[in-house]
Amino acid sequence: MRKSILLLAATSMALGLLTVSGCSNNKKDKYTKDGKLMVSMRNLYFSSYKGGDSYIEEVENKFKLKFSFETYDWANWETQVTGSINGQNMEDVFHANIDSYNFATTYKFWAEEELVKPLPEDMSKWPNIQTVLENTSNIESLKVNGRLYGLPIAKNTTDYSTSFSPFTYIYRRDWAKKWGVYKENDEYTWAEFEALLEKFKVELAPYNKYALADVEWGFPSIPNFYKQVPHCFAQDNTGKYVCNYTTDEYVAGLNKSQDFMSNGWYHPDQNSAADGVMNAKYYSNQVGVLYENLSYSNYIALKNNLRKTNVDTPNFEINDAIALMKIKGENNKYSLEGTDNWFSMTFFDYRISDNKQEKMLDVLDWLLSEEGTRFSVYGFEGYDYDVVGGEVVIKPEAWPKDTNGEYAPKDNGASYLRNLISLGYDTLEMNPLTDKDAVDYLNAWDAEMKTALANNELRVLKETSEVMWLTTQKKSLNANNMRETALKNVMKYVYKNGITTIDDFKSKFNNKTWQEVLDEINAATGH
Amino acid sequence: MIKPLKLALLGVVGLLSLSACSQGRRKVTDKAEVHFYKEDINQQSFGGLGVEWGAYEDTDKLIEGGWDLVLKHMDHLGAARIRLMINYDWFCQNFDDKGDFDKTNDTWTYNYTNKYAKNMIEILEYCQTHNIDVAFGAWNVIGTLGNDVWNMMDEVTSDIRWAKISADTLDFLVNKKGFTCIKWFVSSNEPNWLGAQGASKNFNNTYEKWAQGVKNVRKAFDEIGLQKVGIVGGDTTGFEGCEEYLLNISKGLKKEVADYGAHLYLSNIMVDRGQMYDGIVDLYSRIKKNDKRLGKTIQADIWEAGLRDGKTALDCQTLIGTANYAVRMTDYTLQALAAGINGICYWDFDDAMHFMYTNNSVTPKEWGMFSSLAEASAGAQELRPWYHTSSLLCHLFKKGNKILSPVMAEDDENQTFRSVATVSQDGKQGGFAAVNAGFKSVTKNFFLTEKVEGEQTYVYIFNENSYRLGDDGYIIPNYVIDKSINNEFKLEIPSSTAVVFSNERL
Repeated sequence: MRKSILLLAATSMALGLLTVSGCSNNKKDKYTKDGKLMVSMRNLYFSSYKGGDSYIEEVENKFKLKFSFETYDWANWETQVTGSINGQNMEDVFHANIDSYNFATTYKFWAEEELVKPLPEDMSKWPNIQTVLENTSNIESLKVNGRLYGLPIAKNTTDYSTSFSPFTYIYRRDWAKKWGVYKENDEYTWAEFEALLEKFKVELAPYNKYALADVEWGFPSIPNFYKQVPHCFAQDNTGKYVCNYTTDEYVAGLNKSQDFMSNGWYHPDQNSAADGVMNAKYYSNQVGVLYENLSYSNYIALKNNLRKTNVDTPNFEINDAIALMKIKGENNKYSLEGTDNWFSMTFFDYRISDNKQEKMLDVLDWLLSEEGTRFSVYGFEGYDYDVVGGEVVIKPEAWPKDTNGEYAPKDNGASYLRNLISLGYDTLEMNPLTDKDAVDYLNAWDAEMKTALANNELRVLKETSEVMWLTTQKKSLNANNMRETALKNVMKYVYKNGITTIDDFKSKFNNKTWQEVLDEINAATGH
Repeated sequence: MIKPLKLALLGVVGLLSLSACSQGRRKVTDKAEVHFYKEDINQQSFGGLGVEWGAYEDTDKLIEGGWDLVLKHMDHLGAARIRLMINYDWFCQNFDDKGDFDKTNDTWTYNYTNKYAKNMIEILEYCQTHNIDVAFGAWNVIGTLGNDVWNMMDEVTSDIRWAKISADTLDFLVNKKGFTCIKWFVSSNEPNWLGAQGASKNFNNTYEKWAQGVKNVRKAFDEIGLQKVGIVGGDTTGFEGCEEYLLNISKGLKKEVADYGAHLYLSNIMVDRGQMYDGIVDLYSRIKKNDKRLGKTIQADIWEAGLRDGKTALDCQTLIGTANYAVRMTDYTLQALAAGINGICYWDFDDAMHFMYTNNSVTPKEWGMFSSLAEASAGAQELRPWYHTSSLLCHLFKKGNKILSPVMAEDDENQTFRSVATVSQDGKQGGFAAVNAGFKSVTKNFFLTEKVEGEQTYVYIFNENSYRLGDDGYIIPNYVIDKSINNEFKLEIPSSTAVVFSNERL
């Protein structure tokens, strides 16, 4: 039963008291003059897509739908989603970033208040979507009263085994070789890593360049080699949940970060850098090692930018300038942040008709099929490609290359639409636009890390499922803010800006909120 | 630099033959025949082709002697019109909101002496002396994404100060400086493209706000004697955005709007399959149902023309340097003209005009016909292939000319073959252009029956192997034939090839 909603500062927007009437009438299905059902959509990945191409028209004609596209701004995505929900002006199909820290205040809240439309209970009509759901990690945690209220967007529908994120280091292998600190296969012990940074610092200092930088949201990355879990809730040796930031392991990592700063290895602008600045420092040859989210798209963007920056550098070997560094911590293990095999979710406005939701599910199910996937990657048979001997052969007239001999980006609206259910890692191998060398390289690293994991040489940092998706009252209200405040205090300590001693740092976590949340978690989990 | 003539000759010589001009045959059954009958006038007075030549965002970045190069290339291009966009932020200063929310008492001053103004005036002086029509406008409201200092992003162009600034600026340029070359005013760029809050100054726009802005501007212009400066509506992008705005204009804003303006960035497949033509014809006819003046006293124009395949996230066109881009843009032009579009401005002239600003970098938007940027590679500073085809088209399809549609047999082959002819009102200049967008070569016999003066025909054949450049770097004909263009011309046209026949050297 939908009811008037009292938001008790529940959202990350900290809206305070806000009454939202969730009792609006259902949206009546509207049709174009040629009988197509109109569907409004808003998705982060539409940022560079305006619609209106032949491929999206084909999908529209096939399913008798007419789409309209809007997008979000990355930096304001969450605010824009919650704003539209609170204002009851969300699109028919929209896109939200759901993670364990905002789960209670977003997904669960929307589901309980029926602000989003649940998926049909019987999904057998959409077997490809059903397969995605069955393989989604922590899918049970996403169910409210036994129902799913959105579609988790799969990272890779051909391989659901993802358990760690590619948040790691790339480095200038060419510089390491030149200055005699390169290690075979890019494998570095902790001591070798530190030696490399020192050498880079010495060589780069005369040019006002620096050894190390972290992507802004990932700073400081060094505690990853020490801490137990990525964020708030670690466990002591009895299994009881404690504040991660005050554990000996985290503090050791924090002090190590401070050492890295005082050694002059980090770029001095790290503290004040806006999003993207450290990445730009790397591709403009200002930094030797960069910690980043090295997803395929980020890796390729960096690679292309590096290539562009160095277009006039003689004998520049791009692959030696963007090598993945494999660093073992002082415990002789690699360390990577854990992840789920999905990222963000597609939701349906609670007011849309069953008919509209089902038609959209028809579209997404088709886009996951072999035929739909092929269409979203290659386009039209006969124009974009031919099938010869059972194999797809793309037509050069329809896949032009630029003056460097590279395939030019191609606007296929169906591929954007497919992003509503898949991030697209499953089509990388078949896509002519993919940098196959890069995919192979990243896949090889992934395989190597999976082997390391099997051999107990890799630590995957992840909070337990029982605490991640726990939605007790105080945790739900405070967890996001606790994490954000903790990171601010981390920065203050690392930069000795207002927090100068470890005792002072720890005292920031010795407060009622932390205690109450931890007590609540331990009670709920039986510790 | 001369492109390999030998290849061109091997590909074409022997296949080009002449015979006496056939007289008018209204029914065509031979798929090879392309007839331009003088009765088949598609447009009585063409508006002309041109290019986006916006005020440069940073002239300090040009190569030494860059501006002379820019003017030289503009001389050769032969543009009949340009679109010149500026930012009001460049000129408005000393803003005082009086500490209240009343926008009517706000004050500010103008600075028309800085480098932006200097460049804007240089462009206008060139256009004034070269008889080039200008669509002049401002990109968007004042302020930055991080600082809406004038508080304009809520009301966008319906903000009363927008009309005031627009009128003041046009008063300065037209009334005081005498730039009567400014024929149109663009009341903000692509009002239908909202983007996202935080990433776009336009996120809050609606048709209603934009229309109110146009009414305000029209009134302000009329009050200072600028009745001759028409307003482009809606300068919207994409077929869907144009449908919303242009149909609304045709119903309720006919008095204020003087031109139906669109931006069309199309995927290759829409051009190759001729869907572009269908799309324009459909929209054109729907507008005309509401506004019978269309095609007579009011025209439809494309103010930004380009192809979207090849566009990168940093707003560069990776195919801009290819011959295929040039051929497709020729095809684009022919379809647009055949569908009734009265004028086109290609996006854009010079890479050095516009930049993409991100948190960590400023990168040029590489969409030009060349680059005058000092930082550009030597290759990028060269004229790109589509400069040459654009130049041919600008010179062939002159302002004031008649546009003639072809009569051809209904045949699959002609689904990917396009051709349009043009003749000046006095019959002294004319010719035709064609594109084979198909995957196979086609052989065509062209017949232009409308009399055109002259006893020579200049033939340009353009694909990645065939075009020729003179010693000065500009395009030269592949053939000069001592026959009138009113003869029959038979030509085998390879796949992805554009051809131009003209009675004068272009």
